Amino acid sequence: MRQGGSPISVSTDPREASAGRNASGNLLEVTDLKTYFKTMDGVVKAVDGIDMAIAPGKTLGVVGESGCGKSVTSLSIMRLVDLPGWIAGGQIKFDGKDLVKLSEEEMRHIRGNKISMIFQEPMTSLNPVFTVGNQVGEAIRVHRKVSKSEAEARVVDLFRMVGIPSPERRVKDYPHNMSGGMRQRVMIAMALALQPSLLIADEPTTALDVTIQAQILELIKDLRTKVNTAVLLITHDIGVVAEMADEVIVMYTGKVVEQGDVMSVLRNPKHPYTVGLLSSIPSLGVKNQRLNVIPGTVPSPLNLPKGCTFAPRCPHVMGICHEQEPPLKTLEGGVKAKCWLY
Amino acid sequence: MQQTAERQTTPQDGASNEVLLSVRELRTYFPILGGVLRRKVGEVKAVDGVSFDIKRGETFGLVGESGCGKTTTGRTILRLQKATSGEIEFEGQNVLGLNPSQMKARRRDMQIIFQDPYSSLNPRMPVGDIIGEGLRVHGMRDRREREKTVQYFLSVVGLRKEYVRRYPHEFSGGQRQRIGVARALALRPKFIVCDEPVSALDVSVQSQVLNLLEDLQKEFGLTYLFIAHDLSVVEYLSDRVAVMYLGKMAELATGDDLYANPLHPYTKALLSAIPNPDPLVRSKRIVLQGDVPSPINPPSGCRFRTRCPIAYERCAAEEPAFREVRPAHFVACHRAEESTVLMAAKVASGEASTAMPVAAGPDA
Repeated sequence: MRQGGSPISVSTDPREASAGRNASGNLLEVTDLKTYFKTMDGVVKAVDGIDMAIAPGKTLGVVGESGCGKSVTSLSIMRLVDLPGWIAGGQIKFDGKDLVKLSEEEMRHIRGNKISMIFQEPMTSLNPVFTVGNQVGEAIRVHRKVSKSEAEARVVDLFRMVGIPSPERRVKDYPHNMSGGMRQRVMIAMALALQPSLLIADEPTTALDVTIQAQILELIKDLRTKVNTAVLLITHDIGVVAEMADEVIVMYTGKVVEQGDVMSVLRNPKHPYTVGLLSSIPSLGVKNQRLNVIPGTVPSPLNLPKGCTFAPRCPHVMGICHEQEPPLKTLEGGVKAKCWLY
Repeated sequence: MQQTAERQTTPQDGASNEVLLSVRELRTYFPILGGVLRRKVGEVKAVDGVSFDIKRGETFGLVGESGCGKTTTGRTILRLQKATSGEIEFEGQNVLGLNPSQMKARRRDMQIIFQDPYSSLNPRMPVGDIIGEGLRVHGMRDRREREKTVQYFLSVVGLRKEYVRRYPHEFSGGQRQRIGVARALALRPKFIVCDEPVSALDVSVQSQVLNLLEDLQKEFGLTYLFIAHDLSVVEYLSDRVAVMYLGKMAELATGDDLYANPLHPYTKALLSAIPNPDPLVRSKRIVLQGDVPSPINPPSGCRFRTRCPIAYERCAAEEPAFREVRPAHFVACHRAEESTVLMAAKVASGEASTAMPVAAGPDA
């Protein structure tokens, strides 16, 4: 904090992004996104028609269990889905442009520059044979016309900003010289190197210990206010969402089942899946109370049940649930839920 | 080389309760080999003088961050890892002094559930063989009898009897962990080390397995050593909880007491670091500076002092004893009595809750 300000000489406040913002004032608008994967046994609809929007400086949390499609959503926005997967439909409006329609060349200007991403595994997302300083510097040199020494100086500033002690020395380290928390800081420094208007954080703290997680979350919060970056936060940890996000989306089998502001969704969940998910977390200080259980397991994406895909596990299941898929309905207070109960 | 007073102050609450497992001054070091001759050039002190008792029928939780030695402690108790020194007594018998055949007999009573249900089951063995292997090794020669027992334990953990001939890849993570539980149960042990049994599972499945472990404990009169990094899971399941830091015990108390009145600054930070799923609960968080130091060369005195917001001179000079500060509440901290007031003051002044740990400086 002592260095203050931004290490990068671009003006921070009226963000360039705001110029080309989507008509609605949102930075990112995803409409009816579908991402499918071809497998030997048939087509897996990993993401099957989801909508989401993020305004500048806001944080949208996406929660769900493994296989619900939350990571594929983020990879689709970055256009990092490779065969056998493809974006089968929908729009990803960012800065007024539809990312789905951009060429690979155009997309390269956006990745790392306007939208950047922090991955789950700080152990595997860095190249082990280059110094961390070199890797972060590369991101700057690729997108901005700067000399090598200028890039190096910026990396040192970035490292200082993300709280890496003695940055001048640490830039010369290789990833194996660093702890998990430090590596994740390097990833964040890289993601923020070009001051993106959107930061996608896919389980940014899952591989880290709680005290280190606390440091990283504080860091992301701090940077969000300083740089006004919008954050798409993907996590299975509802505690992290409660703390970080303004809005939250709950996903199940590739679809949004509930959506709304964090306060309403987490304190007064509507969809039976969200209710079950929230009450199956043991919370500190509440003891000797049997944990609520969502019976069964997530169905195979190749063999989804007819109607509502949550019906076989749902305590409130009705006849119609097995027949027809419920729509994502807007309820009182603006929360949306995909359930026949409402 | 140590000046701990752990021996005199052995955790013991409700002395009438029978002690099933007693661990004294347990040390497990891993050698670091170097040079051309692969000589020992140093050692990783993974577990460095840990003492505790586990009573029959209780769940003893062991928490700490990665590298604190909690898994090594569990593995050393089962002699899956060689202890460097110390004593482990199970039902009054010194486990470390047993010869291999005696140890084999003892293993019937002491089992383990592993962390990763994906890598701990042999992919080439059908479930029936995985669960039945222990039975065969321990003398159940009759194939039919074995299969019957396996089917019984499959139903106990909530799986279908027909699964005997299936292979691990046919199951989901939660189901695999149930197989791991059935495997540990098959020999009807008295004591099970649960090494992060739910950390690889999704929350909805995690709660299924936690409930199962609770039910089995009642049904079979089991004693658990429950190892996890997730304090809320440990606190939910355990009667008493021990917090480890860098190979040493930092604090030990009943689950409720530890949660309500943590005394060690590390426990305080750990508890405050857990994000609460309720967006209305916004307590001030204690953010620790820096990383856990290397166990190869731990700091002098108190091992937590390098990250401790309330450390003072004595902490560097003298290792704190693991002492009973309140009844049945043990803490290894020189300032345990005043820690609550001191930490609150630090948090209020913003010193211990700075968002940017930049100020740690090069000496961190």
